Amino acid sequence: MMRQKLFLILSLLAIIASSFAGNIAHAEVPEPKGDIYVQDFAGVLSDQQKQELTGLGRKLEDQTSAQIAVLTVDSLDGSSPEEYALEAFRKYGLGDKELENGVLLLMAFEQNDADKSARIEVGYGLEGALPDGKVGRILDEYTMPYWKNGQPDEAIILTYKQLFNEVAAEYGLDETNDSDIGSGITNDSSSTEQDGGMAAWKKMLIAAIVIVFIIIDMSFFGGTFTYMLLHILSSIARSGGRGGGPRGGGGGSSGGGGASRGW
Amino acid sequence: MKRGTIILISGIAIVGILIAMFASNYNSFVSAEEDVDQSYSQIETQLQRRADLIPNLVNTVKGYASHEESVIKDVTDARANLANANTPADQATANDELTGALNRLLVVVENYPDLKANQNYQQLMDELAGTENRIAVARKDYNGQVAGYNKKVKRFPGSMIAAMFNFDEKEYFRSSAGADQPPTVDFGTE
Repeated sequence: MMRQKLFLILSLLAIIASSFAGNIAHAEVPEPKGDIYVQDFAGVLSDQQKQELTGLGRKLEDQTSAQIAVLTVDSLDGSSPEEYALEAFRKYGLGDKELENGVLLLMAFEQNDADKSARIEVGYGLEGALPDGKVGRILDEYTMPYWKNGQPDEAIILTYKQLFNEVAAEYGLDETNDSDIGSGITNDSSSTEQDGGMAAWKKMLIAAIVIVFIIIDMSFFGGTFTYMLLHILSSIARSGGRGGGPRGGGGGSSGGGGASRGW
Repeated sequence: MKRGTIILISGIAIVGILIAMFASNYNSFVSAEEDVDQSYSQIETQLQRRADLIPNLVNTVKGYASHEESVIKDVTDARANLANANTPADQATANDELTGALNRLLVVVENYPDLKANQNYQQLMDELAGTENRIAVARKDYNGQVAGYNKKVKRFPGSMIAAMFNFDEKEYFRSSAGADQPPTVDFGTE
């Protein structure tokens, strides 16, 4: 009897959770895998190249809290690069939550050349270091020429390094990466922190309390407390991703700054 | 325990819960309104930024295409209208007018390859496009906030509190229908 009730409650919770997820996510942008810095869904980069960029990304974040990420996709599913980049930027939460110092390089490898596009989206906090005009020039001088020349991987790496240099300069680091390959690899993959050794029954108890709470809240308080709780939970989730293991976004956002280029 | 005591205690508990409910509801209105205002100021910042870019653009264009007076004048006028607009609806309309005028200017600029190749011009175009995108984002965020806020104002039991403390519905940043479509430009030259 007890178990049946518990099961009922848990499945209800799952339904509610999924309906929330359905409301928030806009489907197309893929879930991030591994370290946030390189999300190569179009499969353009070699493992070594990914490692190099990840090393740079980690180094930059360790020293400045800024995050630069690359996202390659096969298709934008009809979205404009601006919409898609914003969506991805906010979903991944690039940059520190307070400093909003994230940068996203998006490249869409559509089937037709004419549909291919690149965008660099800049978080609020880095708009001073990377104004739209400068970002446009980076796209014109590095990203697009190499890409059009059939070297999309080089395009990504050079663009990433340019962005890295600009951000590093903004924070007063004297790191520069011009073209030397393999300069910034750090092997910092040791997981120092294990998250949550909570017993299963505790989790279930909490889930049960939460569901009762949600039902009461929804029916009497219009969901006020539920939303509050969701906010708290999401901020915990964000700060929890710091320790070891794959690195997530820092919870930063963007206001649509940056520049785009078509083929 | 006496019956009276139980009733008293539960009475106090109910009143306590009601007060807590009331207070949290009121506070959520205050913060929702604050969020709406904040996202609106973001739109205004970006509109201002866009307006600030115009003189620079106009000067650059004049350097290469000084005789395209009417198109340039449209842009300058639209910019002035934007500066004078106050309500979200007026600002949205003025902003769309400016977009239209700028689009006409861009079509004209197509005839001036020297201007298009000018690095200063390219940079300005990036800034302008970036600002337009920022406005679109700020507008989307603002309208999202307004939708959430207005829902709160209209729904029970929030509607009670809204009426009590004069939390009015907020205006969307939306221009009159069709005005947000860029005008189709008729090439008289070809």
